[in-house]
Amino acid sequence: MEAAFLEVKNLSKHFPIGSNLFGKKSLVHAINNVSFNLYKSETLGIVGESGSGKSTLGRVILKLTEPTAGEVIYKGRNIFVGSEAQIRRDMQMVFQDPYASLNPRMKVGEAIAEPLLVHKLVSNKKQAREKVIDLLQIVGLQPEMYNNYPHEFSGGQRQRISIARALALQPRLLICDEAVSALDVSVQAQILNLFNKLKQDLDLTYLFISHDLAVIKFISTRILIMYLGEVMELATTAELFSNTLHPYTEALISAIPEPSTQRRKGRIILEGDIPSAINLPQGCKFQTRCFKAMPQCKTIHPPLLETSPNHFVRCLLYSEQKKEGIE
Amino acid sequence: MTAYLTRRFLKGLLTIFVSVTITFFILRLMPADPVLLVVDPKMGPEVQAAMKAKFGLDKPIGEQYIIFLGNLLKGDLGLSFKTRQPVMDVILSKLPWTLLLMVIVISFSMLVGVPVGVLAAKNRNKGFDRFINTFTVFSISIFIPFLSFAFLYFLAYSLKLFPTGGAYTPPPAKGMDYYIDVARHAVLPSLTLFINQVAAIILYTRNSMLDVLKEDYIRTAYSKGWNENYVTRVHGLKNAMIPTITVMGLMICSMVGGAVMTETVYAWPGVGRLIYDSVSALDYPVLQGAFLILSATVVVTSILSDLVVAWLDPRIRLG
Repeated sequence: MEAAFLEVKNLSKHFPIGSNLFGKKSLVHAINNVSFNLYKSETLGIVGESGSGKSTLGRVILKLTEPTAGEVIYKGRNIFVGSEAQIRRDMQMVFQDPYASLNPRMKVGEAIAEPLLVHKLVSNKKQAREKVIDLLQIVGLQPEMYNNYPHEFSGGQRQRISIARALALQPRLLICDEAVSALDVSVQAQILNLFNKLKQDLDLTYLFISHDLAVIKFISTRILIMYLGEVMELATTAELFSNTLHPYTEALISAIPEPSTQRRKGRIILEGDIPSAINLPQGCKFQTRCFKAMPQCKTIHPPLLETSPNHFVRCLLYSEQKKEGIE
Repeated sequence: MTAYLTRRFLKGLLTIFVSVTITFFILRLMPADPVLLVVDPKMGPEVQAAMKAKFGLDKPIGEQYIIFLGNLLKGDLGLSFKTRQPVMDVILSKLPWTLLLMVIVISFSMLVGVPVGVLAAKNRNKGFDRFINTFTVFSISIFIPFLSFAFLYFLAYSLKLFPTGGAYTPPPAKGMDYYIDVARHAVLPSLTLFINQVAAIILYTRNSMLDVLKEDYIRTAYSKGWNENYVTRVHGLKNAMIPTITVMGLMICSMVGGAVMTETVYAWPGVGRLIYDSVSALDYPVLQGAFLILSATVVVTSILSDLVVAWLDPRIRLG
């Protein structure tokens, strides 16, 4: 196995919220003890429902939020210790909402040039302008758009601007947090193709966060399934779809819309909503909605097991089987 | 742009016309007869009639109104009932004092209010923010004459730090001494108004800063690698200033009309005091003039603040 590009070790992030009458603070467990490796030139897709901690994970890795515990090792160094200049240069993020993530008062050219200026990659405005025009062309926009304001662009164009902004520092890792979910399906396809093209041209590694399994399936080489801040299953895309282990993954896959007029068979419909991340369920986090739940799921918190090489799953179905030696 | 400005200007003229008309008729609805002020009962009947004719009080209201409008177009606001001076001269002699007070109060409110508001937003719900919130509630709700009397009693009367009233010590001194004297007189009225006005600036800056700092583009700016100060200043404050500018425009309007209570308590010879005196004296022409100035200021200020806001925010299209 090649060495990891980025190692995430036991990462947790708990947000304190409000306090009740007696001053006792509650905690939102946004991510709990998440560990995984990211390898060079792969696209790791992170999937989960709203509130499963996907975005928080992305933001913590990018050091936009301090974690409660755990480390992220990049180039042999924990990124939470020491300066952040290197991290900002090597890792950039494309955000979810292209309408809100651009400063409305700044010309898009200036917005893209800002990272170049803050990291002193260019010595003057003229150089910055040339770089920005290159970047605009890379993402498929016209150079004369330099002087326009964000509100003059469509959603897809804005997302291209955000991508150009993220690429300005020639990062090695691009974290895409729901980067296409605010766009029309046809525009989504264009942007996803742009991501794939950029990956080849610029040798990028992606961490692709989405709630849309179809998007993730299209773009990812490996997929990580999150639920209530925990890793539920982690496998290569082919493995995950052909040999689905976790009941939650099964339910997600069965929920992918199919372009067919035939009556759908075997859809798994989960009852209820994702539980509150303030009062986490005992035992397995998923047991409240799992259609394969067993009595012991209510008490035992399943560990993350490697059932076959590079296929990890957190479910008692497999640890029980292993324990009792039945297949 | 020219078309827009022309349209705004014409609408402004219409606004001024309506306001002048309303002022004219409302003043004449007051349950008192100005004729008694102008005309001394001891005068002979011919003199009385002549006086009434001089001020146009012998004609029916409709005709008075037409004459008033005609004179207005010629730039003639009439004569003050009380001092018999042209109204324009009376107002122009008071206006600079009000403007002086306004410039002092608004510049200090902006200089202090904006940074304090930003700081409060950045330290939301911490000690400083809580103190500032308490202060703003206090200073917005306090009754101005009460505050003025407190200042007068403690700072002017007990401690003798400042003069108790007026704008200068008569007779006016010469040169530098005069300016220092005026500045000393301006401290208490400015402070009173400042405490009241700065609260609005702080409140608006803080609240819109809180909104802006939650925006996604602030997070984007952090991810570019800027430090907190730069993000707050360039990406945050510039976007958060828009409501504050609008409030500042409204503040200018309300202060040109004169801070009636403050100017009265401190005997400051500005427009506010003039309005107070004219109401007591039923001096219609002066009141009409003062309200004309006020409505013209409202019109000009609102055009200006719209232009500034459009310049600050490229999404706003004029027209």
